[in-house]
Amino acid sequence: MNRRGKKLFYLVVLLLCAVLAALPWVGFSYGIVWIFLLAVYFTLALSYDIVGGYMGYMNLGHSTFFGLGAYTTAILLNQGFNLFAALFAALLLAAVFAAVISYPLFRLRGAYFALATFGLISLVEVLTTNLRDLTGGSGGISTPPGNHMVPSYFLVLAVAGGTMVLSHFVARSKFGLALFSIREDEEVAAAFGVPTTLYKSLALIISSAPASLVGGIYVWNMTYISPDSVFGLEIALSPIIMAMLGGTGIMIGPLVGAVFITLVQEFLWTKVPYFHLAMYGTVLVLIGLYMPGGLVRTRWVKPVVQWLGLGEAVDYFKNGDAERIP
Amino acid sequence: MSPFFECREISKTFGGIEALTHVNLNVEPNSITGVIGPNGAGKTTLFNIVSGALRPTAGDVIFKGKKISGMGPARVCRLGIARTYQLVRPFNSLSAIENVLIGLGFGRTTTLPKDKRVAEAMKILQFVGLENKINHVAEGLTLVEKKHLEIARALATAPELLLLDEVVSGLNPTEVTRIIGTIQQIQKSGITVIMIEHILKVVMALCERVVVLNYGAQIAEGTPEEVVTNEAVIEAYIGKFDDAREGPDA
Repeated sequence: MNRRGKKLFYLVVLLLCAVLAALPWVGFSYGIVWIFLLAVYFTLALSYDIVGGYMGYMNLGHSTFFGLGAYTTAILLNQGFNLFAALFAALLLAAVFAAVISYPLFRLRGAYFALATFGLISLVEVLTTNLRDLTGGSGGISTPPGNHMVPSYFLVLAVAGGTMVLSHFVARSKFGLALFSIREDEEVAAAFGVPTTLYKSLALIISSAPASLVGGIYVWNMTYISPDSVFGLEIALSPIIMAMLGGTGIMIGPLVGAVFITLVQEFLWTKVPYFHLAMYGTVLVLIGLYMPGGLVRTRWVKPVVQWLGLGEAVDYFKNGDAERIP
Repeated sequence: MSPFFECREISKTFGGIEALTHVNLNVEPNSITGVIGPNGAGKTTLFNIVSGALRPTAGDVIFKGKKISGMGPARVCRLGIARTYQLVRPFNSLSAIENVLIGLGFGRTTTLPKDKRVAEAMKILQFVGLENKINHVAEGLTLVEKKHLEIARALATAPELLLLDEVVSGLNPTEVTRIIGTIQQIQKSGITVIMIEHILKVVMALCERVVVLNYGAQIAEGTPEEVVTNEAVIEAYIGKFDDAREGPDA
């Protein structure tokens, strides 16, 4: 990033933080709800991208962590636990779950991995539907009522910010470099000493953490979830569509994608309800055909992104101000 | 004293196909050994077995007195055996220096701190003549640059034995001269080299010993001069004179 870009970048970030912090006091409650949901989706998209974008494994079952986090938090809140204790437990459970499933799942590659992870959602959904005593079955589960909109708004923004920092440091670490090498050629990466099995599992565990946290915050705010609402197609696919539309393997990608899709969705909701589901499919096909690198890598947007110094996430080595040369 | 590097009676079958049968190889430290043979002779299979990517069906690979066949590729790499690929396989979206840093950061037993790794990577890239391309993405490099990058990535793991798989093929004469110079310098720095090569000019110029494979079997071994005059080798490459005269078309 050049110095001018850096200054501008920090200025924009600062302004954005100020606006986001001021919103609840202005009393713009619709905006708060909208940004809350945007932040939830953005966090899911960005945490998906650690496995899907950095490492190149398309994890269609990423929302499983979200659902697990939501259910764990809901159950513990009903037991009278403190919110933070419940969120911590949700994080731990999702991490353990990620560690356990990584063993069989990462023996698969490509489309097989994507399909197997997609099947995982149904598996957990069936479990939650049938473990009635614990989860309330298909009727869903309610948490102690209360208006938590503003605190959960700040909480989810904090998690989103934390995920950005996490994603930033992973991309610039030796671990991140190894993830990129796995994406490029796993066999060669292993031949050069990268502990691929361990790192794939670690990447999944890391990506599960933000997803489970926003799941917990989501249920605390909504006070009701059902297997449909947290294991449904919408929550499973839209973060992935956002990451892919914006651009995978680059931090600004999921952000652009999330803002773009929630904006379009907002418009479509009011005009043609449920059309957005059809739109996801169409968008996915169009991305594949016309911009496989996502919005931020298109000819018009890429120079802007690079000028801002938000270029490729692969950024282990920086030689002064030298840019990566394609 | 146990030999530096040895393949004992290596055999490998894929289903019913015998890719290698009873191959023996004995390599002296700091030498350059050539492995030649027609297409499909099993040369790359041999490299895959040595580097740990495949397990031999029978036989042992011994490196510095240690049996390495059966170890994973990562362990073999850390023990000091690095390789390049016949069809170049750099990490395409990573820059040249990041490619080398993978080897430096993961392929060695001891890990240097990051600034030392970067300095070392620069030195290696300079050695192979890529000092002007450190920030270039591997995908955009030319074939000869990609081949040099693969050599750099292999050297980054501080190997004692370097496996070069057809590193000269597909290059023009100027580029061939450049890469021969690089290989000679690698040998001078004390690294042992085993190279698969089709271009006999290169084999004659570089190798002290040559092993010839044909249909998975070892048909000759010796100095380059001995091997190119060996009848079995000539037969494997261009066929018998009698065959040509009395073939089905005659």
